[in-house]
Amino acid sequence: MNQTTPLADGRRAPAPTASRRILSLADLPVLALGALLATAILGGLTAVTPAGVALAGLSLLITGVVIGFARRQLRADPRAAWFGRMAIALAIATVMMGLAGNVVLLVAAWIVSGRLMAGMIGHVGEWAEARAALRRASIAFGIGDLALVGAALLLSLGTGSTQIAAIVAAAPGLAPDIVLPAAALLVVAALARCALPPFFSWLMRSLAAPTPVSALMHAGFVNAGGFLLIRFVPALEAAPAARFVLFATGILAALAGSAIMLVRSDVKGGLAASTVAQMGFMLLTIALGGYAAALWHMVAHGVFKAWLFLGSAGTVSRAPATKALPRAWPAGIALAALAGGLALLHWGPATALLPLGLAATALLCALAVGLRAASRSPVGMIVIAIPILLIAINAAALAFVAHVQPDAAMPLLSGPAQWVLLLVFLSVWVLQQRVARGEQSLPPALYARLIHAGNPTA
Amino acid sequence: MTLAAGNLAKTAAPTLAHPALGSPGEREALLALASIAAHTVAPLWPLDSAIAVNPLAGFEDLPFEDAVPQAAALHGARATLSLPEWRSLLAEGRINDVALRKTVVQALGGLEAAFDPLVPELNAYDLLIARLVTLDAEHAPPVRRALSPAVAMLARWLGAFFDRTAALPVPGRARGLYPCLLQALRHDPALGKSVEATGAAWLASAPGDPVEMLLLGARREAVSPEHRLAWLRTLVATLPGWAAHLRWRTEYAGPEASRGAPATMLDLMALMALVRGLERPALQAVPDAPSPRTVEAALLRHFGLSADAAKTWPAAARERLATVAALTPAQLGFLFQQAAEASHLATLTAPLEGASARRTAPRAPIRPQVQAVFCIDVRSEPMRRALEAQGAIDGAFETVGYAGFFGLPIALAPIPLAPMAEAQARNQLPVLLSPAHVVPETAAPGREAEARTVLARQAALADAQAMLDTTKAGATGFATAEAAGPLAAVSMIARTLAPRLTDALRRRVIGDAGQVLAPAACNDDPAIGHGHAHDHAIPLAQKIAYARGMFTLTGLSAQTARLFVLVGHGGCTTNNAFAASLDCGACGGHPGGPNARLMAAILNDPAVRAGLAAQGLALPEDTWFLAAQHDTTRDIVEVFDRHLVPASHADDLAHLDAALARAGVQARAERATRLGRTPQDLLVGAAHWAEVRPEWGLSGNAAFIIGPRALTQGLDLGGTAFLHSYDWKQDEDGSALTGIMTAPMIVAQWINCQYLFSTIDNEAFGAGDKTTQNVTGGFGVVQGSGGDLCTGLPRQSLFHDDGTPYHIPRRLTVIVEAPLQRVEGIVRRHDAVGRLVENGWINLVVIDPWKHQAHRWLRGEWKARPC
Repeated sequence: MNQTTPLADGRRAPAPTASRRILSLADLPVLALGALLATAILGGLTAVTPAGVALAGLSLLITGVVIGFARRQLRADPRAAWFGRMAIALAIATVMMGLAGNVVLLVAAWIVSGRLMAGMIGHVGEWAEARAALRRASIAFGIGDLALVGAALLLSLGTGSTQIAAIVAAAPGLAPDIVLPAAALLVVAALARCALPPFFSWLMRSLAAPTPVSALMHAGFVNAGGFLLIRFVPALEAAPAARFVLFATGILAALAGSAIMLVRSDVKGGLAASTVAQMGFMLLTIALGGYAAALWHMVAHGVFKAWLFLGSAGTVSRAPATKALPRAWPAGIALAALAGGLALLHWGPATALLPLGLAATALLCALAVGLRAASRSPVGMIVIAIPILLIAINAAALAFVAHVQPDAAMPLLSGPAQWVLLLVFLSVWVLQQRVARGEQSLPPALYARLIHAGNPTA
Repeated sequence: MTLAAGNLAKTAAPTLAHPALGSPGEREALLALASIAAHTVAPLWPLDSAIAVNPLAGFEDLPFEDAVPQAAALHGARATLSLPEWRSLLAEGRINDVALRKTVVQALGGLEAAFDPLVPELNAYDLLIARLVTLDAEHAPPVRRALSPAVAMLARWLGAFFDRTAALPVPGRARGLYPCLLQALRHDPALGKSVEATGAAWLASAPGDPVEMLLLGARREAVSPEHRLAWLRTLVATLPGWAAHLRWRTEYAGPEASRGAPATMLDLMALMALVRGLERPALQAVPDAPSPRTVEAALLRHFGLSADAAKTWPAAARERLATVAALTPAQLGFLFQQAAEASHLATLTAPLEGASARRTAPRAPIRPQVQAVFCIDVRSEPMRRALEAQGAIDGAFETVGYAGFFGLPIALAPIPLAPMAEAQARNQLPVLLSPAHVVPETAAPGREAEARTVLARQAALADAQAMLDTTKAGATGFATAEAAGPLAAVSMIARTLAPRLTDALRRRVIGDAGQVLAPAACNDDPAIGHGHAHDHAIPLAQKIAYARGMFTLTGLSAQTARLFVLVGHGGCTTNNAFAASLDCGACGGHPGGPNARLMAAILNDPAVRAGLAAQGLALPEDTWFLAAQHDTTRDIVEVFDRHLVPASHADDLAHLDAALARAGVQARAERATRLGRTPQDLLVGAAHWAEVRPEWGLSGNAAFIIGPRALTQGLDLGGTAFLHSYDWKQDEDGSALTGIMTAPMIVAQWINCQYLFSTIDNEAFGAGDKTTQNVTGGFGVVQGSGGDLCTGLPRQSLFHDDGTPYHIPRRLTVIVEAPLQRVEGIVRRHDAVGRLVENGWINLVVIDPWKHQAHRWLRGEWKARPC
């Protein structure tokens, strides 16, 4: 055996801390928040609704995964413990918001979660970019908070109750000069939280925060806007003007977000732009009256986006990704989806013609790509099966959600108008495919606007 | 490595837009200066083939101690660690007290000058030690440079222009960088809003020719001809990361990297000149270094003297005080760095001198049971030591250090997954060389059926990925996000809670491509070439030469063991943008397994063996060459092509397997201690998607030892040394040593400097915090939402969790056992070596093989005491 003499100057291994203190002073606020939640639940201040359960469940799932992730990823971060406390506090606040039966509790939880998220955006406090992002987020959340407080006041005073159940029951009977401003303020609060125009720059700038913060933000936090609207849906339905504003903003965000995503060369920027688009789509679906579809979108997209953010460091690649279908395909697929939409209209009423039509398009698209795989080898058949399976799971989940969360009694748009909306989305999609294939270019000024979208210019 | 002026001028066709600008002579002069200024930054490789380079390579013509402050000023970086950081290294014992004292004495000009009392009980030595160790010093952490709004906008445009995975390329990309972005900036409403009227006029009048733009910019800023080079350097250093990427693109990448988007450094400089004219120069915050007078007063106060005590001193004493007080933080830090280098060297010289002396004693030649060639990489050392310890008797397991590409200048062409797809060949050799052969990857002999399965599965996976990529953007993305949600939930939970199980499942499903696909060693079969334009056949004479090269360079004897393993290496990590930085640098930032397999196949080839024998290198009939790959993250050595091992060697292989497993456990335990984790946790980290430090990589590297393993055998070098085997007796003409010092040694110096500067200023020369990084363009990272491309290594690769450096900034100490004249000849003849040695970018120490004494090359002569 060889005799070895240690020469290495590697520092001695840090001694494992003998006894980690279980609790510290800094944990007190988190504990207080937890105690508050427990009191609320025990004191009967909570209400179980599909939207609330979805939001709370999503938040708990994502927080669990993100804390597990951050324990390793933030190990060299002096603020790792602080992050853990903030994440848990955010989860408690979100659960409280989801389960609040009382509007005061809901507003408080909403404001607290906004403060917590703003703090997390400013995680890297010594970095100017992070501080600027914190300021921007604080402003957006502040506006949203004010709007929500205003809406809560109007609704409580108008209905004479702070119980949400009582408010939503009485909302359809409220005078228009109360319910319209209340609904409009709810919409403003939701737009700010969901990072829709004109508020979306807080989300685009929040990339100065560590990856786990982004995962929490894009997966759980932004969805609260959708939850809020679904929770107060009778007020929204009583104010068609507010609903139309929501509808228009949703379309704008869905289109703009998708366009920004096309020009962003950085992974996280692309993901953030995509969140703007997805949130736009979710609120648009709510405006249309497809609450079940919006709720399922909230959960599924939340998980999907957290997954993409947490895995964003693994996207170094040599080859450009295939992002466009071969030439004539998109138009063909779009026509097929539109024809399907027409058939559906004949069949019966549909509040969710748009999501259904787009799901069909995505499926056809995936199958078109998978066709190549299937022709090559038997394993390729599995590839073909994946989207079919996923869409089936999706349909089942949607059916379940629809069972517990009814859609709007009155769709915002008539069947044919919804079909036209689908036509608009699919036309833009065909155009986008042309652009991605290099057959069509964007005007330079538009390209420039998209590339700087949400970023400071001066 | 020089940038031809012609290359620069590609887009510089003269135009008549500004006839008054630039006489032909002025243009020529500017072009010449621009090609020099282009070297202000080092090339930056894309992260999928990360190559370590010295970020200050363009300053190697200057002495190290002058170059670093200059470059630091240009980049707004620190020139050294802060004094508090150095002091904590001293307090931890990582810098030796004695070494520091010796360094201080030397810096003061010797014992007399140091200890001569200035006034009773006070000497220069005390003064300098007080400045280094006790006087209050500020800890200035590295700061991320904030970009002005216009430069930040330009950075965004550059990111879009260079993007190679872009869904939507920048309009007009094909016209080249300068014309394209000039057009873009003119149409940029955000820029139009942020600039004042003069800026808008400047933008509108910008010429279409980059040279004219530069001349105009120089005129606007009234840059005189003698200051133009400095000005151009400032332009390049405005966004050093993107400039470095551009240098790689124009000088090292193949033409396919710039296809459809030509760009030159001249374009970039012109854009910088343009942007500078758009905004008022921001006030540069100058860090206020304490004035020498304040330092003097503090020193005097420290020694209990009044502030004006020095007034009564003799002139010589006052001058000494002033000299010590005038030392800048950079100079003080440099003293610490020298002390750190000396500390390390002091631990090495005595054992090496001793081993050199013992080596001359006659030794009964025993034939080792197993020989293993490892890469020179510092991470091989613990594994080699561990493997050697497994032998039943000393010398039963012999290890050798050789560059991890095994001297094979190849590129590997992977099998394209789709029939029509074009798979790019990847270079499996040091970037100093260019590939002589493009070797196709093919099914390993005897495993064709498995290979077909693996390829089919890989293709299916690629198709699934294409499905997601095609549907996730645009209107279909809304449905895709929903559909993929449940799958994402399962994946996310699995990767967080059961990373190793998930990883094992993934490997199971995809199949073991690393085993069943191998570089084609023999080219008799026409079916294996998949239509590559290059001739991939390596002629027999070349194969013999490559085989012989390994013996010549390492001084291996022809009496090879029955089992001879060639061990390449690669890291093991997931969800890591810097994964390639853990792979083999000698293989172009890729795992070295393919090279090992090709070399083993060559050495097992009877024709090659016959050829070697004809050249006087007759290897024993019963030697079998085996290829393997050392997973440096988990310390698992994977053996390739076991099914080809003859039955006669089955026992040898079983024996080796057991030894490798035991050695792996030992090496892993050792590395786990250095990482402050359990060995088990290293295995988890390798598979965990949140892991930011799967291993230390080459952190800690400090020495490059050229000599036989006997010189270092039995020493625990703690993974700090590159070990290249060499026997001066078998290299009479010095050609082998020349080969080692002009190639692997240079590469080691690049690596050393990358780690050194990434540690000194992790924001300017390194890639910063991993958790806020953002992959851009598919090839690099930026911090947060954009800005300059990050160069160097992330913080987590160099610093402990508590923020103290794990890697101590130390220049590479090259230790050679060879005749002094031979080494001196190489230093004098080869500028690439001489420049580094004479300018102090490496410390060169030679052990005289007759007197067994270490000599250090200092300013053109040998100095017997190395420290």
